[in-house]
Order: sequence, then structure tokens, then C-alpha cells
Amino acid sequence: MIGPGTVDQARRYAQRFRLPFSVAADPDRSVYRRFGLNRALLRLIQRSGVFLLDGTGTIRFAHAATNPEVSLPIQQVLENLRRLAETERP
Amino acid sequence: MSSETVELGMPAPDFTLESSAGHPVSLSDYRGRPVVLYFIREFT
Repeated sequence: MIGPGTVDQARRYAQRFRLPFSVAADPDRSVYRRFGLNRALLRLIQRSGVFLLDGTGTIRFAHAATNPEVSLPIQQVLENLRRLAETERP
Repeated sequence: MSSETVELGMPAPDFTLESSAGHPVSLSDYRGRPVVLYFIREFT
């Protein structure tokens, strides 16, 4: 998980939601931009996105959203993750 | 400000960022396993 803020904010976020993984901080949003997640609507809204990568680092699924209501298409992500796990199985 | 695009079937660009774990994390640390990369809209 990556958030557009400071390491302190990332730490508080991870603690608050008791996340079992680390949260990376991208204060200048340079990694967001490298993944095509620029700000939208007069640059007021930071776009969110989810990407699934296989073991070689290749992008197998990508979804970007401006509307926070649809920021994470969970069913779609799970389906693609399941498919990815099957093809990655040795 | 330029915005690059990433596409399906292309390698994800590597990056290194400070993390809540107290040390930097790189995407390349996760080579060999599937990765879910979730960029959230804001820390709230």
C-alpha cells in the first residue's frame, strides 16, 4: 500500500487500521505519477489505483479511479488475483 | 508536471520509498511473488 503523504502519516495509518503489511509514503507523489496516477479535476483530487503484478514484475491488472466511491473494485481485484495465483503456482 | 502511463503486460517501474516499517521498501524486493500495489487517495 502506498499513500500520498509523510512516513509519520503512513505509520499512523498502518497502526490505526492494524494493517498486517507496511505502508509506503510518497510525499511528492512521484511514484503515483510514474504509474499514471496524476491529480484530477483541477488537480484537487488525487487519483487512486490498484495494480496486480506477477512474479516477474509484469503488470497483469490495472485500475485507476478518480471517484473515491469506486477506488477499489474488490471483486475484480480478487478474481484477477485468483487467476494470477493459479498461473504462478509452480 | 508530466504523467507517465503504465500498461498491461509492461514491467512495473521500480521504486523505493520510506515505509511505516521504519525502513525503505523497493518494489524489486518482491520479485518472485505476485504483488498487489494499492495507491490510496489520501491518508485519512
